[in-house]
Amino acid sequence: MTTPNSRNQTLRSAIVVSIALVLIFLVVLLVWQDSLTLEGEARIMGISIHITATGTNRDKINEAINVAFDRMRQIDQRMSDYREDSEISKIKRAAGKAPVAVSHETFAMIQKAIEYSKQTDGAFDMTVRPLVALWRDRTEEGKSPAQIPPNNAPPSEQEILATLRLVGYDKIVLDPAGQTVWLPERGMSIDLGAIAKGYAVDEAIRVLRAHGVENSLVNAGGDLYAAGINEDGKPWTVLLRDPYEKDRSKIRVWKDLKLHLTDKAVTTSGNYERYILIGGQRFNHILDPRTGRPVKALDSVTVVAGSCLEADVLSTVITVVGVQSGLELLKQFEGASFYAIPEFQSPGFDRHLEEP
Amino acid sequence: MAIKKLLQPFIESYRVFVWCSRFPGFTRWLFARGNRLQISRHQVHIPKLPPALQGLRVLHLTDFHAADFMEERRLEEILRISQSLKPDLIALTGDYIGYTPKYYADRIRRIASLKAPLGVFAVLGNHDRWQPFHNRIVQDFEAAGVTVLQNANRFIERSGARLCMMGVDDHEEGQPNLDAAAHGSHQAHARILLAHNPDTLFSLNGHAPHLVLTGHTHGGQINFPVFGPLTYFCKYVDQTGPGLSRSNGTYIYNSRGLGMSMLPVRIRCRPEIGLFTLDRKAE
Ligand SMILES: [Fe+2]
Repeated sequence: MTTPNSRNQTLRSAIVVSIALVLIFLVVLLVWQDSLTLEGEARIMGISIHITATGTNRDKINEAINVAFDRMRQIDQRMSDYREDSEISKIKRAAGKAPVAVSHETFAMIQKAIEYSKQTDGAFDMTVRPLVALWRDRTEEGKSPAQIPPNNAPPSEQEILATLRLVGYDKIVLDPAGQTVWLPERGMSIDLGAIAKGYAVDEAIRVLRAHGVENSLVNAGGDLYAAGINEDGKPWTVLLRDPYEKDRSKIRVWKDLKLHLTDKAVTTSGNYERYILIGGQRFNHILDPRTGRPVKALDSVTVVAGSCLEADVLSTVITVVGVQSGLELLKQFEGASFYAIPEFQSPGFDRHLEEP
Repeated sequence: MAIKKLLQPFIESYRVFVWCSRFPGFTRWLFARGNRLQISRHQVHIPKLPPALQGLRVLHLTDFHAADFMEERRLEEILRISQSLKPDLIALTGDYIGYTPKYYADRIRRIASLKAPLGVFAVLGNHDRWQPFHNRIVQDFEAAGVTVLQNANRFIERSGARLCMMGVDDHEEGQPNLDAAAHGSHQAHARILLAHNPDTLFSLNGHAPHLVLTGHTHGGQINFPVFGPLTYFCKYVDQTGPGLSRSNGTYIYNSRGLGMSMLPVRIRCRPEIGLFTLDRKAE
C-alpha cells in the first residue's frame, strides 16, 4: 500500500531524478563535438574570396579549402582580363594576326559563353569591350579641363557603326580540332570577366565536394554558391546589403535581403551611380552590345540560380534587357529567379527569402 | 521489493518528461543542439548499372512524427531542404504523424506535397497503422500523387533502364510479405526496397535488392557516450548497428529519422535527411 505521504516522496524524488537527468543530457550535449565550421580567405582575381566549410576533420577541411583556392587561381591565370600572361590576353594580342591555342578549359568556356550569347539573343556578348572603350574614353569625369578635348561629344553614328564591326560573338573563330581561338579583326577583344568569377565559384564547390566537403559556402565578392546546409542544420543565410546604405539621402525602394539557400548560387549586377559624362550630359555606363548605345539599365539585379555561372550570365543580361525580357529568359533556366531595383520580384524569388 | 522502490523515482521521472513534452517548444530549445538537421550522403555501387540510372539521386526521409515533437517550421525546413537537393526520386519509410491526431490533415498534406521527377514512394510505419490514421494516410498520399507500396512494387523506366521500387508492410503492425513486394523485381537493373522496420529483413531470403532504406529506430534517439543508446526497438539493428551496413552486396541503411517519439530529446543522434547516389563504379 502506498500512503499519500510516500506517494509525495516518490514524486519529489522523481522530480529530482528528472532534473538530474536533464542536467546530464545538457552536459553531454554541450561537451559533444561532432562537427566544426572552418573559414578560409584568399585574394584571387583581384578580390577577397571567402570559403566557409563544415565537416568533422579539421585537416581534411583545411586541405579541401586550399585545393579549392588553388583551382580558382588556376582559372584566374587562364581567363583573367588583366593578367598579361593569361590565355585571354594572348587571344586579344593576336587579334587580326593568328589563332591562339588555349587549354581545353578556356576553349570550353568560350564555347559555353557563345551558347549563352545565342540563348540571350546577343544581349550577353563577351566581345563588347571596343564599344565600352569608345564611350568611356569620352567621359569628362575625373579629368582636368585641359585633358578634355574641345567639342567633346558622344560617339557619332558612324563611329558606333565602325566599332560594331569589331563586336559580335559570332565573329569569333573556333577550331575544335586544334583548340584554337581566333579574333579575325585587329581591335577585337574578348572578355570573360562577367562570367569567369561565377565559373570559378562553381569549380571551387566541385573541388570541395570531391574532397568530401558537402556543406560549404564560397563567396567571391558577392558571386556565391551555398552547398548543403550549415552546422546548425539550416540552409545557409546570406545577407545582401542595401547598396545605397552609404548614402541614405537617396530614397529608393530597396531593403537588405536575407536569403536562405541550399544548393543555390546568387550574384548581383549593380549599376550604382556609375555613368559616363560627355558634354555635361550623363549616359548610363551599361551598353547594349547589339545597338552600341547606352541602355536605361536596371539599377541592380540579384539572381538566384542552380549554378553561379548561370546566375552571372542572367544578372548581367537582365540588367541590360530589363524586367519583361528577363522574365522571358527565365523560362530557359530552370529554377532561376531574380530581384531587381527598381523594385521587382520574379515568381519564385520569395522562396529564398526569410519567412516573416 | 527494495529494488522496485529504488527504481520507482526513475520510472516516475518518465512521467515528468511526458508532462514536459506538453511544451515541445521549450524542450526543443533546451535540447536544440542535439536536434540539428544533417544531410547524410552515400554512394550505392551497383554492378552493371545502366548509364540511364548512373548518378540517380534518391532522397530518403523517415520517422517525421510530424505532430508530436516537430514544429511546423522544422517540417517546412526539412521539405524545403529536401526539394533544394533536387532528388530524382523520394523514398518515405513511415511514422509520419505519431500519437497526436490534432494536426493530422495539415501535416500529412505538407509531406505529401513533396515532388520528384521519378516519383515519391512511401511505406507505412507502426505509428501510421494505429487508428484512426491508417486508411486516411493511404488515401491522402495517393490523392497527392505519392505511391504507397503495401507489399507491392512499381517499375520505373528511364531510357530503357528499369528501376524497381519495392515496399513492404510494417513488421509490427502490418502483414509484411517480402515475396509479394519483390514479385518480378529480378527483371530490374536496380532494385530499391523500402521497409519501415529493419526486422523485416530477417526474412529477406533470396531477394536481392541493391539498396534497402529503413527507419523505425531513430538511431536510438538518445545515444549516451560509452553506453550507447538504451534501445533500438529492433533486433536487426542490435546486430548491425544504425547507419549503413552491407549484406551479400545489398546496401542496408537504417536512418536516424527526422522526428522524436516518447521524449522530445535527441542526444548524439542528429536527425537526418538521406541522399543516396546510384553509381556503377565497382569498389
Ligand atoms: Fe518512428
